[in-house]
Amino acid sequence: MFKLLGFEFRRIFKSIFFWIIAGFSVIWPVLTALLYRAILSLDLSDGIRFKELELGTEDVRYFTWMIAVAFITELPKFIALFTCLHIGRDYSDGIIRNKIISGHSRIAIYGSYIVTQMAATVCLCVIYIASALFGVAVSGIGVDLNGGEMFARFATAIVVFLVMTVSFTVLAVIFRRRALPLILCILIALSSNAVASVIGYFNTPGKACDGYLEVRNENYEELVELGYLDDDTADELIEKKDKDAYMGIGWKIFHPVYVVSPFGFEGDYQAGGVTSLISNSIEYQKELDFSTHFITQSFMLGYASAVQKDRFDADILR
Amino acid sequence: MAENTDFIIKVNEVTKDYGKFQALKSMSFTVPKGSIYGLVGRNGAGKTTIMRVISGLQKPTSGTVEYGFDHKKLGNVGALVELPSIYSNQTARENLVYQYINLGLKIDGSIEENLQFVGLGNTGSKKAGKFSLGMRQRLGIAMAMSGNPEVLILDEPINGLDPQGIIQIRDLLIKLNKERGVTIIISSHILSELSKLATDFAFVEGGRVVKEIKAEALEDAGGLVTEFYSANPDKLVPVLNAKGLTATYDSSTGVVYAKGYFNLTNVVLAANEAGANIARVVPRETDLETYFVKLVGGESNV
Repeated sequence: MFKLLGFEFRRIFKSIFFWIIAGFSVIWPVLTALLYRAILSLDLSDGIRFKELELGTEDVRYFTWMIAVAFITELPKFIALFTCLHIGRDYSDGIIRNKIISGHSRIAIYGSYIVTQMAATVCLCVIYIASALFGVAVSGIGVDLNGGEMFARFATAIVVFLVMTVSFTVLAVIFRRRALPLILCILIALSSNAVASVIGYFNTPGKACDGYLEVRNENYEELVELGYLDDDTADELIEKKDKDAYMGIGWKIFHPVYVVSPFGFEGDYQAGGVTSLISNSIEYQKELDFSTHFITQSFMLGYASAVQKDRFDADILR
Repeated sequence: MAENTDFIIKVNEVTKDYGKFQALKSMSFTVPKGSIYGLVGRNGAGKTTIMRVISGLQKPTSGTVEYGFDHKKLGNVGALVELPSIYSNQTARENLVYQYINLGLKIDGSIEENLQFVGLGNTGSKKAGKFSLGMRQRLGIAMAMSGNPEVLILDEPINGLDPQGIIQIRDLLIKLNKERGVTIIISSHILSELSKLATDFAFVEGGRVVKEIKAEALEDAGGLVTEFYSANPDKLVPVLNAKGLTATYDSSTGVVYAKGYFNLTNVVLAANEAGANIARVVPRETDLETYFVKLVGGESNV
């Protein structure tokens, strides 16, 4: 087995395609960080100019995560391509026959493929993450690893990626050629992004919703104290519009996947980042306050045609 | 596993089924140590299948293959079955380096020696994909003989080669066998070439070995057969027998067949004295192909 591992590691090390992906993993996250830096500081209010970037802790954390964890969406198609071409060549050139004749068992041969492909994947992920952290640091966005907790989340993302890598390897071994498994693996890589989007669509607001409900309930208490609402009405509003009511059935279905996957982590940081970005906008805050107060007043005083539903809608905006 | 035996491989009643098709039907043969063992047979006779079974690429449905050496030791079996197993995007040297790593051998000067041995010492940075068929075959043999195998299994190693390539491979195999003592199991469609190489033959037909024979015995069985055309065959046969030939008269063709070598002038004079005029003499060399056709019948199609 060690001889086969030495064989495969040498092949990977000598593979031009591997070094191309490694190069991509170095350059792309740095470019992404620089691009985000440019977009975030772009000021179009008086022509095109770049203002000084001021981001809160949550924003920095969000961008650190988003740019670094992008390997889970960027690299799978390359790994699929690399795995299928790399292993497929062993079949097309008859090398696997050579290994069997030499006296290696098939299990050892397939095992060596899986181990070396996984090692290559981990290596590329680490390169990508390191480059991303370097990129956000030098671009001026800044680095916030949430006290090191983000590394655990990176590790989880890498494990998810490794599952994909093993499936690519298994497909390449099963089909014993290059073209067909390549198509399948690319489809898997692309569909994983689509699946992530679907799960994310149902789940991303989840964390934001928690924050929203907390603020909303505090507001209700305030309204009760001010005499605009009585306790029963406040309780009724809280009960009727709980988290499930806002999130829907999709959230219930996908939430378990979301909790333990990088998609969930993305949602966590995204919720924090988005909330922070919105709350930093004074204009938006003012607008929301005005709308909510206006509708609340109208509802309480019986003006116009405002009904309780309008109140909920205004709440949801927040 | 049996060691210190006089055979290198012993195939016992090996059967190989592919669904309903039976490629090997209780095939048995024994490969003596140090021999060049030629497998002769038509397309689909089972030559490649038995080679795949012996080299470990396939498992037999039933029967056993005994090895007269530790065949589980890495590199003790070298094989070139169907096409050479080489990376087309690598140089000859790099291919050998991979094979050395595969076998756990120390990467040293023996790589260059092996390349020189097969005549690929000066290929430099040329990729194997750009090699001629003969060069690829020789590289395949170099790969197969890395680690000094006890047995080298070669399936059609001269297939598709030009005459020069055939001579090169033939010389290489003889050198391997004589200088390194490697037992070689070889199949080829080019029977004239096989007859120049092999020390032993197995004739394969319909998934069975129908005959095992040594090269010397094949020569004895064949040799020169001369056709004599005469108006008095009954007088000619005793004359030929008296000259040390084995003569028989075939009344259906009207030809006297004489096996053995002779002095034509002496035979003609003796026949003349005996009153048996010889109208025509046609020498026929019985070669491997003729022997094969006689053995399995019909067109050789090998």
